[in-house]
This record gives sequence, structure tokens and C-alpha cells, in this order.
Amino acid sequence: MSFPGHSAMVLAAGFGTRMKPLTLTTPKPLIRVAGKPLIDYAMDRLREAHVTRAVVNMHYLAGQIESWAATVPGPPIVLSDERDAILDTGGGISRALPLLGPDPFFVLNADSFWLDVGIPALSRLRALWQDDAMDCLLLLCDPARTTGYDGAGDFLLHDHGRLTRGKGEGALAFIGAYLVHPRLFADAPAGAYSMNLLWDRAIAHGRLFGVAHKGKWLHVGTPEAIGLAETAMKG
Amino acid sequence: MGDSKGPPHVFTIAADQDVLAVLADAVLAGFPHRTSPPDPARLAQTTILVPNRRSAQRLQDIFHARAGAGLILLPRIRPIGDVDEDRLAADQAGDLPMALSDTARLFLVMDLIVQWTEQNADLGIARDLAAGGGQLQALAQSLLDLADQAQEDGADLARLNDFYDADIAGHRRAILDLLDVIRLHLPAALHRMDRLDARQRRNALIRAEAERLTREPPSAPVIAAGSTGTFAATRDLLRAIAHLPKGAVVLPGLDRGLDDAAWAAINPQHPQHALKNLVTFLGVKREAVALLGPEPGPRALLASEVMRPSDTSEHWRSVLTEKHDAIAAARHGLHLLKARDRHLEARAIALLLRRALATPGRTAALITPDRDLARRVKNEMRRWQVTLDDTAGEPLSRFGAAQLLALLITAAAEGFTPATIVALLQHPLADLGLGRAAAMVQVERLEMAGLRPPGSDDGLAAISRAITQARLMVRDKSLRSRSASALTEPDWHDLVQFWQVAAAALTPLHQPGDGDFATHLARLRRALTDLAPALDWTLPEHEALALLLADMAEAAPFFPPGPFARAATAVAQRLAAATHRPRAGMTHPRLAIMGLLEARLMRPHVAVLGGLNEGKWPAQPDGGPWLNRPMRTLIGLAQPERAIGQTAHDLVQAMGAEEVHLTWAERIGGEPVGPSRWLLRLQAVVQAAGLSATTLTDTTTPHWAAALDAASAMRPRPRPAPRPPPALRPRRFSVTEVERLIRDPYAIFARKLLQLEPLDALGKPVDAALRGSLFHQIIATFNQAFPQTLPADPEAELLRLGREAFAAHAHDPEVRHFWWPRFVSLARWLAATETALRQGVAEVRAEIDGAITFAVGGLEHRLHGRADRIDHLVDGRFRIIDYKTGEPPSGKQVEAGLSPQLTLEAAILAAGGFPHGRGTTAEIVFVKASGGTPPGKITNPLARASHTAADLALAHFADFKKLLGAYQQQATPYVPRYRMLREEDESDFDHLSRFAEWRLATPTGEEGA
Repeated sequence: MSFPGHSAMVLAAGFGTRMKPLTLTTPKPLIRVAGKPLIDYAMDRLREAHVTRAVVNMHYLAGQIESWAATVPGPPIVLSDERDAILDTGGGISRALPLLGPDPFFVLNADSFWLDVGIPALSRLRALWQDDAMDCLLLLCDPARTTGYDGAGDFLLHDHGRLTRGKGEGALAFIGAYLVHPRLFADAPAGAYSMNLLWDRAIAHGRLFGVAHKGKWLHVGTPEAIGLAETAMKG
Repeated sequence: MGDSKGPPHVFTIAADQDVLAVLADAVLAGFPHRTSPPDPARLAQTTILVPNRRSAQRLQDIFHARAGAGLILLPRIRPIGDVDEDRLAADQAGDLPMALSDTARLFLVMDLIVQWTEQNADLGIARDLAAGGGQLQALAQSLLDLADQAQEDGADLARLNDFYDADIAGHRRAILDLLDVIRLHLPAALHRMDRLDARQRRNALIRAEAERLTREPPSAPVIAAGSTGTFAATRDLLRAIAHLPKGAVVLPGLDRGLDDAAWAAINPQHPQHALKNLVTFLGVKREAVALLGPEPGPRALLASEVMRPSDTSEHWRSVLTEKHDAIAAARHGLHLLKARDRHLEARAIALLLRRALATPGRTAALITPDRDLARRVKNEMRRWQVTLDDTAGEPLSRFGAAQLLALLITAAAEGFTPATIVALLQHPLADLGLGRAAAMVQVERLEMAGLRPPGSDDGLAAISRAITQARLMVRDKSLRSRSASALTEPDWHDLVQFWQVAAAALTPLHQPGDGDFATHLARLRRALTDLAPALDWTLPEHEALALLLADMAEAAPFFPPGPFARAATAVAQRLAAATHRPRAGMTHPRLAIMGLLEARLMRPHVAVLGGLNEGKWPAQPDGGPWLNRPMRTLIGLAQPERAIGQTAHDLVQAMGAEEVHLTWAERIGGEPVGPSRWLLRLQAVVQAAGLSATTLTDTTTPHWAAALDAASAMRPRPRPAPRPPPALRPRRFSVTEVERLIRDPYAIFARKLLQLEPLDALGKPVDAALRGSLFHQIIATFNQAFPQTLPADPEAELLRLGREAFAAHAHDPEVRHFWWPRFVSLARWLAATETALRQGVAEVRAEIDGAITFAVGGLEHRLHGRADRIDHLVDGRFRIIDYKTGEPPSGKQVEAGLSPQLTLEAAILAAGGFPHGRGTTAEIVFVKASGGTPPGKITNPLARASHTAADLALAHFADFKKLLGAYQQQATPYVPRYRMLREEDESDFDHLSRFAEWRLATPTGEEGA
């Protein structure tokens, strides 16, 4: 049995609409928090988890992402060029699948930004992965542990970590990081589609799982959230 | 780095002060630069480095508490080892290879050792290593401990080379060769893989940070507090910080008051040893170190004197007279507690902790290096439903799935013996998907029908065979187990199916071939989830196991490929070493148990410093097995005594708490032990100051501890004497049961009235009983085959029959190698004696059933028996023979009627109960057929008796009827152990009758009836 999460997909193609006006000139992954581009925090997590290959997709202001990729100390980056189309989260991964290998791989939003307490979250995802039961394992966070997030949650966590959709009381927020098996993409639509479509299919088969994050999640969704995140990083 | 513009900025906080509280107050007042009132924005830019996460957390809490309701911008507070890689320039951090996990490094060293043993097969040490496979991991760990210590001390293992030229003993040369594994092979392997040892990498980062600070001094203050600088890399960083224009190093409890002579005499066992080295390294004189916060108080002065180097203790008299008042004051709130043993020490400590809870807001901690004491105190606290946070955690293998995995590995290692199978399948998680209750029903049936395979046949297949056999025997009624007989056909069907599922889960672990670690590990994990399909990996204790397994899976490529057993042992050892801390939310907010490391910079109101026994605190210095003192000195490794100095410093700092209890035990594990050297010196100091040390001694708490569980008076249970209604009492007895009724009536009660049947212990080796029945069976077959004339070669015939009977146990080495030779010599003896025995015999009949019925008290009773052999003599009378593989009863016992088996058989014969019709018994004979030395012996128990066998038959039968008459009376009890042959003989029902409880209080035997 090979080890899940050798490679990772980093989603860096988005427009970052809510971060306007900062994103008019800079793609959201390259917006700086505490002096460092958001995507570098994601890369730190991957390096820490000994991920050996990162596929980064790009569409919006792709040239800047390209230049950034040249400066990253590791892990080795493969760029997945989506300048020709808008593919959305699922479509982007579908296109990059051949680069990601046959085993479960991590997916991180380029702006996923969390603080670990104790065991790193990616190591927990990897340890709790059960190949025969799961198609996808999401990292979730109690909204009370978040900074800059005002949503009502996305999923309800049940015994054994099984997930259903839900909002409000007891619902957890999706952090933008998960471990997924390529088989989930077998019957995916062609072209652009959202991962939500595949997650709903996985829920229907009882194969979508989640893990509650133990540290904080810093949601950098708006320009104002940057300051909040910088404060939270100290505490 | 010594090129500073000014003197280094080094401060200290007195030993009896709360370091972090004093530091926080100083920082809020503008420290390290007098910019008072401090500018809040500036405060937020200040960086404070503390020794570990716990102290970082506590310092944060203190700042929050000081701020009260007002919002402050906290300084950056970080553990000193957590270097922020982002802030290092890319050319420093970015170029460092990735770290190898500890597990991967351990596996790698195991692999290197295996390679080393293969390459050095001619060395004795290599052969020993290759033979002792289970030691591999411990050996690898021991080598790595040495490598790590070299890292910490900045020692250079390469300098061991110098020893190669020296004239050293051969075995030491072999050890040095083995050290090549960490000295040469490990670094080479890491280099090939472009990886770094995690500690090496951390040290490189710390040093890079030190260089960065020196190169680009930050504009904001940087403070390092609480470290004693025992790690070489940390020392470099402290020096860089001390020389920053806005830097400050704050030392914990530097003793500025100690006189110069004593300061000069400090050795590695002294608490100031590390600090003395550090100030020298930092380039500052002791008197130039500025004091932060209050002057040292009485406790600090007392501790300083207690620790005074013994070479300078002649100063005591003068110094102590001078400090008389301070030492008198230091006694306030300081208590010495001596307990009889560890157990009472733990209970006394629990009382002290519990007492602290009575005062609202008061915090208390047990601080001890002794894990056993910590565990005991934790258990004692359960008395008051108080759960303590034990920062060291508990062994992971005590929790759920980890426990099951440990059992699984043990079962596989032992070849799935019945005992290991029961332990495994009785585990609450191992329900095979049936649910716990349903699985338990099946496990119980399995125990009845499958787990006592005949002989010492072992393993999964043996259990399958045993179930099939038991099912057949129940069908043809040859199995006399009551519980197995109660199973219906559908029950058997369910049991077979249950066992098939269990065996399918376990079979992959039964002697699998060699392979790589990942395959072996996956196999174990698979078996675990097959046994426990409902396992919820998201529970915290199971996630901890999942992480451990993932860690090993990631490190798997480094593990030497090979046998499953080695991989499984490695998993078991990782499992045994792992700890788990149950949810912190469940533990008490005001009480804690801490090890010495965790306790640094903590400050509870009440500090119980436990386990202050010489050998525990301080511990025996242990330099490890590899290097001797000259070698350590040569390569720059610290001497093991340094650890004593560190734990002495921990003690001095902890003695600053408001209320301090120093506790020790006079005995540990039954062995007498002495108090810590520091306790003796404490008493000596107090006395030398002209004060009484007895006022320090707490005698009340140990007294309470002893009284807590004292029972008022012990009233042992009386010997049981059940008196069931006569109508329920048994009226059918075999001749052997009569002896039991005479000797141990309670056994008859248990078997016949309670219908209990004793089961053999699981995994009991083939025993004497089976041997007896084998020998019996062969002799009976022989006698039945030749009732009148013997065959031409009786020995050959016996051996032929023997081989047939032994065939069923051919796989059992014990039977093959021990019993068969015994039988061979028995056969020769039987053949030799049988001819003489047959003189005057008309016919031999073997294994004959007989029975008679008779009335006692108007009720029908029955006596039955199976005679081993009855010889019809030519004179018309009979001889009754019984074969014994053990010792036959003595003539006295037989004549007295205490062992009436054969005389009662004679009585049955006299009454016409055997197929022979009524007959007179001329003689009763025991043939001891043990196959030992001598192989056999013929005895006539009545040879010296004053009565004939026929007379005794009538007398014993009459006695028996009298006995039955007595048991017809409601008043007659079935007492246990009424007339045991020997006091030490065991009865199957000793446990049921609670013999151990009443044996001392009640006389056994007839007097007690």
C-alpha cells in the first residue's frame, strides 16, 4: 500500500473577487499577510508534511503565479496552465489529474490559512484516511475557532467522521484543505464544475468524511480580514 | 560574535521568585529599556523567547491577567527552539534539507545495524546481535540517544578515531566499530537521501537565527528568559541576544550571593553549574549580572546553603549564624514528609493536594521525576472524583484500539494459542461486526467447544479442528461437557461461522513470509479493522493510534525488509513507548502532576516535591553503555553527573513556592531506600543555624494517610456448610465419587447439586490425566484382546497397540519425546510381569461396568463403577485390579475406608452387580503403571491388614450406607475439605468455597465440621 498525500494540488486560479481592490493587480494567492504571500503559508504546510510534488493551477494573472513559482524552495512545483478556460474548482483538478498520480492527494486552496496546535492538520488527514471507506476527507473548523469568517458552517460531522450538508447549530466550516482519491473524479463532468457536485455524490454514497481542526482558521476573505489574521498569528 | 559594542545584557531573577511573573511585570514597566511608561505599540513588537510551549502559554496568561479588562497588544512570545523559518533569509533556511522523522531515523539505524552485522559476521558482537532480533530497536535507540547527546553538547563523535590508535581492549574496539553506525553510516545515509536529522536541523536553524540577529540587529527588543543554556545551539542564540543593542538574557535564579570560594568550587552536581558555564560563555562576570525583581528571600538563601559545595561547608558555622533569622523565616510553609512506603507517600500527597482545593483559587502541583509515584497519586485522587492532568500522559497501549493491536501482535507472536485468542476476542472492540453482546455469546461458546484442543495442538487450525471434533462428540454423546452439550444445531452453525470470520481475519498474520515493513504493517492494520469493523478512528485515542501508524507507514521504506515477526515487534515496541493524554477538559483546573521539565517556570501556590529519594531525585547518573569517562571527556561529551545539577536546580527553583512539601518514602517496592542527599543537608543546615529541624517534619499527614483506609477489625468468612433439602441430594454415586464424598463433600455439592464442571486452564499443556487415560486405554485393549492366553510376544503386541493409540498425538513433541519412551519401558515391564500375574487365573476381563441399587431411609440409592480389570481365579474367587499412573493409595487409607474404590467394587461384586454374578473377592491389587523408574509396581494394599478383602467390602459398604443416611438429614452439611489426604491438596472448588479466606480462621478437617 502506498502512502496517501504524496502529491498535492494547490488551487491558485481564482479571481479573488471579494478581495477587490487588492486583487485588481495581484492574484489573491500572492496577497501578503504578515509580510508573506498567502500561498507561501500553504506551501509551508506542504513542506512540513513532506509532500513531494505540488501541482499549482493558474488562470487569473497567471504570469505573476509563474514568477512566484520560480522562487519557492520546495516542494517541486508543476504548473497546470488554465489560461485558456475558466474551469472552477472541480474542473481544475480534473485537468490536473494526470499530474497527480494514482493515490489520494491533498487539495489546498491557495488562501487556506490555518494555525496548527500539536499535530499538523495535514498529518491528521493522512493518518485518518481509510482507503476502503472514503473518497474524500475534508478539514473543517468550528466557526468559533475562526477569524474573519462570518458564515454559518457547511457540514455536519457524524460518528466515524461521516459528513452531511448542514448550517447553523453544530455545523462546521470548510477550511479549504482536503485529501481526495482520484476515483471520485471518474464520472466527473467535462469542463468547468464545482467540487460541491462531487461532494454531494460522495455524501449520497456515505463516502464523504471530515476531521475537525484543533487550531485556528484564519479566513482571509476580505481586505479587512488581513489585519485580523495578523493579530491572531501572534496569540 | 563576541564583537559587541558594549557589555552583554544579562539579568537574573532570584531563585525563590516566580520568574515569569517578575518578567511580565518588568516588561510592562519598560524592561529591557527604561522607556517608561512603555509604549503599547513597542510592547507589541517585543519578542520574548522562553524554554518551551508550556512556559510560553503561561507567560501569555500572566500578561492577560495583568492587563485585566483593558486590551493590550501582547509581545510575541515563542518557545526558544521554534525558530521562525520565514524570517530567515532563503539562503539559510531554504537550503537546509528536509528533516527525517524520529521514527524514520530509528528505522534507518535499525537497517544500518542489520547491514553492519551482516558485514561483520566474524565479530562476536555481530553474532549476538543477529541472534537477539528483539533487541534491535532498543539497541538502535540507545545509539541514537548517544548521537543526540553529542548534538546537545556540541561533542564530536569523529574524535573517537583517536582511540583506534590507542591500545584498547578487543571488546571495546568492537563497540567502537558498532558506533560507526551513528558516526559514519548514518550521516552518510542522510547525505545520500538529502535529509537532515531533525535535531541537527533544529540546531542549524537556531544557529542561523543567532547569525541573522547578529547580522541584522532588530530595532525592537528581544528577550530570552528562563533558559539555563544546556544545549550548545541554544547557548549560541543566547549569546547573540545578550549582545544585541536591544537584547536581554534573563537567567533563572543565578546565585549572586554565594561566596567566591564556594562559586569556585562548583562541580557538575551543583545547581549553579549550568548557569556558571553559561555566564562564562556569555562573557559576563557574575557580579555584573543585574537583578530583576526583588532580592532573594529566605527560601533562596536556605536553598543556596543546602546546595553549598561540600568543600566549603566549613563556612557553615559562621555563615549560618549570620543567616540565622533568614533560615528561621524560610521554615515557614516548608514541610518535610517521610512515609513508610511509596504507597503511603502517594496517599499523603493526595491528601495535601486535596487540602489545597479547600481554599478557593489555590493551585497545587505534584512535581516529581518518578512516574510510578505520579501514577499512584493520580489513582489516589480518584477517591474524591478528582481527575488530575498528568502532563506525561498514559501509555497509549491502555486505550481501545491500541490495546487491541498490542493483543493482536502478542497473539500472532505466540502462534495464536487459545489463551491469546480469548484475550483478543474478548476485547470490547473485537466484535467482528456482530455487536459486543452477540460476539460475547460466541466467544463463550468458543471457549466451551474450541479452545481446549486435545494435546498441545496449537494455532488457528487446531481450534477449527477442535470445534469440529467437539460437535461430532456431542452428537454421538461421547463428550461429557454439559455446556457444550446444551448447544443446538443452529448454535453450532453460528459458532462455526463466527470462528471462520475470526480465523479469516487472523490467518494473514499466521507466519507470513518475509516482506517489506509497509506490507507487514498494512497486514496488521487490516487484521485490526477486520476484527473491529466498527472502530471509530475519530475518537481521540484512536486518532492517536492512527497518527502513530501513519508515522510508521511514512518511515516504512527505511525499515530493514525481512520477517514479519521483526516488523511486528517493532510496531509493538513503538506502541509500548507511545503515550496519550486523555482530554484536558476532563482534568482539574487547579491541580496538576508535572515532571521536572514541565514544572520549570511554573509556580503553583502549593508545590509537593515528591519522590525525594536518593536514586530517584537525584537519579543515579547514567552515562549509557557506550563510552567510558575518558572517552566522554576526549570528545567533549558532558559527564552524566550534569543531570544531578540540573535536577538540583529544578528543586531549588520549585522550593520558592508559598507552600512547599518535600516528601520521600522509606521503602520502595519492599526495598529500604534513603532520603535524597538534599533532604539530609537541609536538616543539617537548619540545625547548624541553631534551629530545630523537627518543626519542619509533618507527622500528621502520614498519620492521616495510614488511617484513611484502616479497617476496624477483620472478620473472615466462615467455612461454607450448605445444607440443601434432602429431596435434592444425590442418590447415585460412582465408587470414585464415594471417596470424594468422604474427603471433600463440598465438591459433590458443587458437581451434583450446582452442576458445575471444572474446566482446564487455557493452553494447559498435555497433562498427567491425558497420559493416564492413554496408558489405561492401551492396557485395557490388550487385556480385552487376550482374556485367557497371552500372545507369543506380549511386548511387541503392547507396542503395536501403543503406536495406534499414540498416533492421534503424533504432532505433539512432548508426547513423542517424553511419553512414548516411558510407554516403551512400561510395555517391557508389563510383558515381563504379566505372565506371573496370570498364574492361577482362568479369565481376565477389563473395563467392566457394575452397579447395585439399595434402599437407605426408604429411598432407592445406586452405587456403580467401572473396574479396570477383574480376574476370575481358578479357585472360583476373584481378584480386582486397578491400574494407576500416579501413586496408589496406601494400605492404611484403603483399610480405613478413606479410599474405598476397590473395596466398594468388591461389594458390588459380592452383591452380584457385575456380569460375573455374585462373587467373592480374594484379593485387591494396584498396578502402578507409570513408565518411570521402576516402570511399574504391583501392590496388594491389604497385605498387612487384619481383615480380608471380602470382610472389608462388607464393612465399607455398610459405612457408605451409614454416610448416605447421615446425608439424608437436613442438618448434615456438605463442607469443603473435610478429610483431605494432605492439607496442601487442591480441590477443584477451593475458589468457590473461598478457601483462602476461611483457611486461617477455621480449622479444616473434621474438627471444623
